[in-house]
Amino acid sequence: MNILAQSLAGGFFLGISYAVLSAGLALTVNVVEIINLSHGAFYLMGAYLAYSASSFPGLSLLFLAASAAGPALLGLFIARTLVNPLRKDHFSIAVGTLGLAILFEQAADLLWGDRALSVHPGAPLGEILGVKIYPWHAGEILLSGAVFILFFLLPRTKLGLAMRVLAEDEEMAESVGINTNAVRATAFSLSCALASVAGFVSAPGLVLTPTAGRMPLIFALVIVILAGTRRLLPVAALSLGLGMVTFGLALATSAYVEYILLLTAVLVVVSVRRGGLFTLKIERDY
Amino acid sequence: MRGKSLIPFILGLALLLPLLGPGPYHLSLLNSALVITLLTLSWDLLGGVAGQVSLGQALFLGLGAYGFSLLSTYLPPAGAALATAVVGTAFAAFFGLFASRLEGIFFALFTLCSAEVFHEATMNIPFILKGVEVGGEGGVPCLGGAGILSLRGLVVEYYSLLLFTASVGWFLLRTLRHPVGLKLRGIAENELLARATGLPVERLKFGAFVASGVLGVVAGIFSALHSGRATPSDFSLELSFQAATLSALGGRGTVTGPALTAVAVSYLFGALDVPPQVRLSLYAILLPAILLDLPRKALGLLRGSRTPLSSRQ
Repeated sequence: MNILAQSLAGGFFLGISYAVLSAGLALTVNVVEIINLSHGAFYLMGAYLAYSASSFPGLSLLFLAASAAGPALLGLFIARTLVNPLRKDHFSIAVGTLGLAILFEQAADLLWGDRALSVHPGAPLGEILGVKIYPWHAGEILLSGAVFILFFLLPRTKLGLAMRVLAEDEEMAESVGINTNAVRATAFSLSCALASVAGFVSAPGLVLTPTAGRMPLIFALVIVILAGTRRLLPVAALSLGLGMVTFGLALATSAYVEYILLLTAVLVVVSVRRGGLFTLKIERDY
Repeated sequence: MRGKSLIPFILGLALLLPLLGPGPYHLSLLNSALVITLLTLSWDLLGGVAGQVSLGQALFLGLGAYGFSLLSTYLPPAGAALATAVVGTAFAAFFGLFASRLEGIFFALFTLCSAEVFHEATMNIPFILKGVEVGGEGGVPCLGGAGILSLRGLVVEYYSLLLFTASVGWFLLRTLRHPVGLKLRGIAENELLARATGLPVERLKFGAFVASGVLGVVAGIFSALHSGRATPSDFSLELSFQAATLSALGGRGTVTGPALTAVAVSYLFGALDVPPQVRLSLYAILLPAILLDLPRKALGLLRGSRTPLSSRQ
């Protein structure tokens, strides 16, 4: 019973971090209208920063801030220099963002080596229903709350409104004087920061290798394709559900089986629904 | 025209190369470079000429390498190569059935995930060959490749690869001017428009996918012959990325550009003993520069080169 509860909790917390990651990817798909294949690399970047932070226990908050600010600035730079000029060319965006992911992987290999690393979870804070709660679990709850508040408040700000108008109709957005490039760059930057912070907070639950960002990317793609990009609630609900299922699968079988099943899910979903499901807006229908 | 007139000169030089005594090390590097060139050409047919962005071209190289390595345990090399080509074509047709219905990023995702499935499977699931368990990260040994350690074997391999690569290049150049090639280029320029003009878009894309797959499978057979084994890295995302990048560096859809770039860059990296991580990082850094057309903007070079396919929107 205890093992079952602990496993369910493991899947639940994995789902929370993937929900934040998927929310970031959904923002990019919706506003920038691209699929960023380096999104998982930003998640991994945050996780590796958490690993480095574990050597400086007193500076955790500083590292957390860096895990948000660094990728946000990097994302802003990438959006300005690569994404905005090339976003209408499928080849450039697909291969360009994949290239960035590979570059991050090589950098991680150089900085932290190719052996598997793990982050110590620290002392448990307590126990609820037989499940040990660690500081990173609390961090995930706080992060998910913060993301919900962000996505609740964002549409009520001028920037959020501009994002919504841009997501609806680019020409209309330009005609009312919205700086579409700046809005896209901000959305991309925010998405990168979300991915990185999700990786930072959930790092103790991960096994860190330079290519460990690929599975979260595939997971986020499955979520975004299935749940759509416009509502946060389906993204969160599906992430939690799928997080628990895949975590259980990984425990019962092996991590690679989990990854293969996720990949197969993408293959099936993309094949069955040529243009993606629900509101994944890449191509116009008319 | 200037580029075209260089082709016979380069081919002549390539034919004479083994006679200049490059030694087994450099000949082996050249053979590796020609395998990458074949893979790049297979990518260029699908991603360049037909405009379908594949991020999983290594799927076919891996299928070819594993198919040949596994079958060569039971069959003579020629029979194993033929059987691998047939099985590889069947796989390409199967994946092509689904992929040819997809567009843009969905096509890219489909190809990426297909290759990743095989990469993970070969990394973790063992094979039983004549009662012996093989596979995993170390891969599967290729019995047919055992003879390529000698200089004579390397020379034979070099000429086989050169002949096949040159034939593929010639065939692709012919295809560019053939009505089928023109239709594929039309799809690459604007798929919706091509559909509106009544072109059988899905059938043409299927054909390009299968042809590209078969070329990739043959590259895989040569790869297994050359390295003496098939490993999970034959399915790797890095290899697919490398093929796409080399095609972009050489001029997507131009055939000769990607081929010459692939052979020159791959050989140079090998000769300079550039570690794989550094190679990939260089590709990843160079790629955005090429995509953004920075060399031309900065130096005013390459004026008058063929740009329509690379500047496709």
